[in-house]
Amino acid sequence: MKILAIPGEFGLDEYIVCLGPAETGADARTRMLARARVTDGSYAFGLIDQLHAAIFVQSIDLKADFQTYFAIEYRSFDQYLCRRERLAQGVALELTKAFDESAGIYRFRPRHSFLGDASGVELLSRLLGDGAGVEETA
Amino acid sequence: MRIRAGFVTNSSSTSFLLIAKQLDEAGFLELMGVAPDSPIAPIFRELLDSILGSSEAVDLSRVDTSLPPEQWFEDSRLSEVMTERLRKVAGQGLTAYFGRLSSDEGPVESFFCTDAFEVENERIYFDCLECVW
Repeated sequence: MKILAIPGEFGLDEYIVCLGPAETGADARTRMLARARVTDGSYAFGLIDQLHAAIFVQSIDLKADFQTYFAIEYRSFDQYLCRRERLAQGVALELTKAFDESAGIYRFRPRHSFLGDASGVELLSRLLGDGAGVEETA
Repeated sequence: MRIRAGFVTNSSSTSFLLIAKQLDEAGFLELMGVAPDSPIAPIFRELLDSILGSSEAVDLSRVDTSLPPEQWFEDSRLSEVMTERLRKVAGQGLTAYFGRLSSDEGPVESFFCTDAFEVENERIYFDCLECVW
């Protein structure tokens, strides 16, 4: 799994989360809950469950969005990312490279305030990453 | 004077009531369902610090039960649920912590200030329902 941190609105980071080629959102949920080491049914379990939903259910899957609705309107994925999603060229190129290897590419704008700074980057990496770490882009 | 760049909103606070015989980090993490080595344990440790730093602690074995629970604390606006719970446990060897979480005090406290929940196990009761967000 690949995670990019990008500058978002109002000084809060956003994240682009790329699933692995054979992964599903359900796989990610299982991994997040296991890595979080939370008790089934507890408040913390609910918190991680909500976080998973915020990333993989409520956030836009850029790959699916492009393939379903915008593959004709925009000539390429990176043009869709730059023009429609207003992502920087460098980020668009990174995600274009990851396109074929990702089952989904999610643009996550965290509502959880504790994810909006540098410690949020590390936390997401520990919950989601498989050792790939988090890359920060300007 | 504060200068804030970016999204500006009214600050707010949420009151909480926590009742325990003995409040410690291990017990609080267990209540919230977090292993001590969980990557999210630091968030809950910081929440516990906020609770202890912003609350008034009252020994329930020493309160005057002829007075309403609001008068056991120096500054309180207890909800009906909180009042009822305090009446039930008054006189027992427990400590009640009543305080407020603020949306101005950092990302962790700000997050819990915007959430409303009630959790309880055999050792600790934590009421954070009085959230106006």
